[in-house]
Amino acid sequence: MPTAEYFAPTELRDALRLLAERGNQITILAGGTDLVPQFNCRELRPHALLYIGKLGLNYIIAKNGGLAVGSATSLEEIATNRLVFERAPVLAQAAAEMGNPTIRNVATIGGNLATASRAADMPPPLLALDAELSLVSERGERVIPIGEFFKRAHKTVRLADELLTEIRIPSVKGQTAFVRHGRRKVFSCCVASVAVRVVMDGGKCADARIVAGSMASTPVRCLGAEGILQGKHLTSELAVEAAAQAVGECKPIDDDRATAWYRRRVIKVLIERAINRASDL
Amino acid sequence: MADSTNGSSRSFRVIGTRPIRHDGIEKVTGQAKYGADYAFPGMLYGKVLRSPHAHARIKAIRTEQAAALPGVQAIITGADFPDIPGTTAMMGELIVNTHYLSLNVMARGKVLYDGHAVAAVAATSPHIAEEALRLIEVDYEPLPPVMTAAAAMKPDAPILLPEIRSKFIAGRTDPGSPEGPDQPTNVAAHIQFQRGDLAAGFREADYVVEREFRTATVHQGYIEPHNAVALYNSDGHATIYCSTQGTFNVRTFTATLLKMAEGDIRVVPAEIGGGFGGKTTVYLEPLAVLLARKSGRPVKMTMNRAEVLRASGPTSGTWIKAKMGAARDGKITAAQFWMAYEAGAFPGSPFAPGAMCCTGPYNIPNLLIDSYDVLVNRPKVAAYRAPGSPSSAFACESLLDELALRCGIDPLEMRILNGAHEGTPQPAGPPYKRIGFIETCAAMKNSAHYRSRLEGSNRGRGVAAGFWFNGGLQSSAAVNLHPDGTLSVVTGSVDIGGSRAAMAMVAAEVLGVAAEDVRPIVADTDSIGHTDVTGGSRITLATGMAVYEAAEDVVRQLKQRAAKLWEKKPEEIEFSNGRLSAIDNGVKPLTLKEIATRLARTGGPISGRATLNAGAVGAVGNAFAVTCVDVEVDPDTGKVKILRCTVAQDVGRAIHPAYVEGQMQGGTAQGIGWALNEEYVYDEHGILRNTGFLDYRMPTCLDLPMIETIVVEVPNPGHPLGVRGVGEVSIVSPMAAVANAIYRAVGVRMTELPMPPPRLLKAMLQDQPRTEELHPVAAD
Ligand SMILES: Cc1cc2nc3c(=O)[nH]c(=O)nc-3n(C[C@H](O)[C@H](O)[C@H](O)COP(=O)(O)OP(=O)(O)OC[C@H]3O[C@@H](n4cnc5c(N)ncnc54)[C@H](O)[C@@H]3O)c2cc1C
Repeated sequence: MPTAEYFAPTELRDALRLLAERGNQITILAGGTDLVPQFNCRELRPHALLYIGKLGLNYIIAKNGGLAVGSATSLEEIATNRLVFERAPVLAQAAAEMGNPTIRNVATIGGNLATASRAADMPPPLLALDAELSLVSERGERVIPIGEFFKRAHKTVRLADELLTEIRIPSVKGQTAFVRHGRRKVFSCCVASVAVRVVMDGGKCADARIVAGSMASTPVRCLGAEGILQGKHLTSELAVEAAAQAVGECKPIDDDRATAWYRRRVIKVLIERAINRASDL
Repeated sequence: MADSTNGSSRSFRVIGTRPIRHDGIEKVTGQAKYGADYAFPGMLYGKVLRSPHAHARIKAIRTEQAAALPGVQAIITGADFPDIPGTTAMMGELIVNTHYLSLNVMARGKVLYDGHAVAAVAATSPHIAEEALRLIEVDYEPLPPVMTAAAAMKPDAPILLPEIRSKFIAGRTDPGSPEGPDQPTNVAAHIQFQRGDLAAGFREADYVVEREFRTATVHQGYIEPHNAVALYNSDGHATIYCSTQGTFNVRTFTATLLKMAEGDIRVVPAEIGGGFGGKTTVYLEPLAVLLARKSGRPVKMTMNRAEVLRASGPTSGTWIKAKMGAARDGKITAAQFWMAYEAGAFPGSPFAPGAMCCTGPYNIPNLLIDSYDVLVNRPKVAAYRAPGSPSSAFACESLLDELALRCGIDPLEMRILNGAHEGTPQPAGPPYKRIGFIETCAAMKNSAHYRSRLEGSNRGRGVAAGFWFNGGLQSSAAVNLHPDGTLSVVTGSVDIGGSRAAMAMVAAEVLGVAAEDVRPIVADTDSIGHTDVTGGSRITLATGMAVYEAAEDVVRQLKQRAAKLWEKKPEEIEFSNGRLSAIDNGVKPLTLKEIATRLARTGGPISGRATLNAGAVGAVGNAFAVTCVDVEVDPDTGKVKILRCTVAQDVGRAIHPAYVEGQMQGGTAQGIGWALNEEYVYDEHGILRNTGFLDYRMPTCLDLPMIETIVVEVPNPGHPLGVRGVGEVSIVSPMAAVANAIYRAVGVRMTELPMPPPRLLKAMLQDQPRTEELHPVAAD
């Protein structure tokens, strides 16, 4: 009967030590909503578990006009926190629409990113907000833009001895929107999702972020579509044009939840709607 | 919220009120014991090894390594099961072949679907049992899977069960049907209903519509997975605790499959977390008994959700070709249905009830219905709420909607015009007794919902009707009078839909006491007479009738006791409102409470009993429902929003109206899930892809509006209280109602279930031209 060792350190340095010594054999456990179902059906058979819920990584604080969010913060906390509401409403909205109440109570933002699932709800808004991630190990800290974090589905640039400790959201301008399409109102994984941020200056779009989720193996920033908005008055016709451009950039996949054909159609609609919503059209 | 059309003026004291259910507090406080809550000293945990192939020959099974794992106490495979000859038994609504039932609970020779059981282990912990499963080696020779009825009926299709020969069904069918000469086939059975002159009927029609329909395999989705705890005593007696809809079925099936005597098995009903027909058969029970016998220790087995979806019984996917004609005035002149029901890996789909219900609500002079039972490499189907009827109704009600549009007639008017009533022959032939279909349509037509106006683009309103014949069958009941004047009602009917409250209310009505003074008990198989399944919407009807008669038996005995006390004849005693009095007066009346204290002196305790057979399935209590639904379609994503939904149903008599409404709403909610999102998704190898509720998408409460109910009461003349069954018929009509609403919203006729956003969007983009003017469904 194989059993797993279980560690639940209360000091970050103890956690980092374990990761440094046995990183490849250790499974980091946060809320467990991705991991535990895999343990139960024996898809994953961990040698050792490192529970990070006691490391004090559950916090949301104001920082440099933006936010610093501890990686073990629950999505329910993010969905209901006043600071997030004021400084990153698009993140609060995405957290509030994710999963269901029981899942949100335990699922963490760090777990949502580290899982690197295609259908994850946190990456698109965080990309739209230019968030950065702090990866810490005994060797020190490295801070990377979230856009560089995901390599492919279920694969990130995190090294075996690193712990994702904090998500940093800079003070960014602009209006945002998040639109997701699932097959049910709640408790359904995304077929497609979009986060948009537009910065308006003198009636024109000074800067834009358009990020599509659940399309390809990683979230996709649609740079071409962003370029179409740049420097223009935002109209619904322009939104249509940008959306059409974005579809070409997304390269959607076929899976059990939807075909690429359907994803292409839906992402176009979602992008239009998100641009319109962000710019109050 | 609930309108009521009361068909009778009979007055009741208890019936029609809404007392708190007797089992409510236990359930909401978590004290109620479900199957998985039972535990016994020394108990082992059993787990099942399941096939990873949809279709394969088992060449060898090696269990030595697993047996050597510390903690493993017993292992069983197909070799541990006796050979059971093929006998068929009518079990509630469906026919069961015990030979195939045995092969379904444990594969022998071949595995026939992804998830088919091949071995089971009992160990001292569930984890050890799971580890042991990994150590069992099975050599498979994969065979090509056959996943749909269409594929299975092709002449060169791989054969699932070589012993099924076309000659078994030849002679019962018309020439040119796919059976042909005697050869192996995947078509296990065929049924045909015929009346009138079909060709002449179609010649008379001004409009004829013809379409092909498909419906996906769907699961009942009960919250509680299957479970069983078995004890095997050294004297050869076994006791099974489990969540089942039919304790007596479990006893019979387990005894048959293990070649035990029925009297050697006692089945104790646990509380049950839903079943909807899916818990009328056995999966784990025989395995648990065998493991308990082999290990000499109690064994508990529970399925997880993936096992439930892969290896319990969903309902059939279907393939239906249908044609219907109507004269300009809206009269249906002819209809023809050709239907194939996927049975899963063994014979026994609801192909016959599907045919019996298909055009059930209508009087169609020229009719031909053919229905086939087709084997595919999917789990053997089980009953699901009105089994068979929803699929055939989807076809029938869709065509009817098209004809109503062609004729320019209001769709409810069209249904009333052709509606069945007392004396109309059913599709299977026998005429209906008093039924309330026309009243149900009329109630919907007069409803606030149907009379309201639906405005806005991409919105539409659809209606559809449904029929389910309901069951009678056997029930037993005992009513015991306690010394304090309260009573207990003992039945063998597992309470799956609030029937404890209904049983107590029926006894309370007869005995003139409050519902709270009657404690309803669901007894085990040794403590009450035989009782058929909780299924076929039969409990309040048939078990309720037994309770009614048992309570009357108590009244009869009470009169004898009072006669003794008062030195009169029993005929001179009257009983009403819970009081005994003498006809010629002169004595002080006695209440039930007062006489209850004097039983010892008048001859001992009073216990009333009754056993009965309330009639064959379909002979009593036929029920009809009509659904009206408003939808809005997102033209860009194909997503359907249910704006408003109302169901009207003839319930005969609503004993406890809140539970009647709950049944109507529950069936409707399941029907909407079936319509929009639910389906089994298999890959090209026949492996089920969506084995959890995240991707087997039943609607949540946020996806549905509050479902409005219209309780129609046309009393069933065959029942002392007028009861018809209420549990099933509401699931029959929602699929067509939603499809008809979608058509009226966006002009697309959906002929395949489910109708999820991608499929609907694709159909909308194909830009089907409308063939007729849409005629607004709102009457003012
Ligand atoms: C029923 C259900 C519904 C769901 N619905 C949604 C949904 O709508 N949207 C959505 O996005 N997701 C959904 N999920 C997926 C899941 O809940 C989320 O991905 C969740 O945020 C994961 O967080 P967790 O804390 O539970 O992660 P865990 O399961 O604890 O861990 C997930 C992975 O991340 C790693 N990890 C966790 N924390 C760290 C860290 N700090 N540093 C490095 N690695 C780490 C773990 O080792 C593991 O590989 C659903 C899951 C379930 C079971």
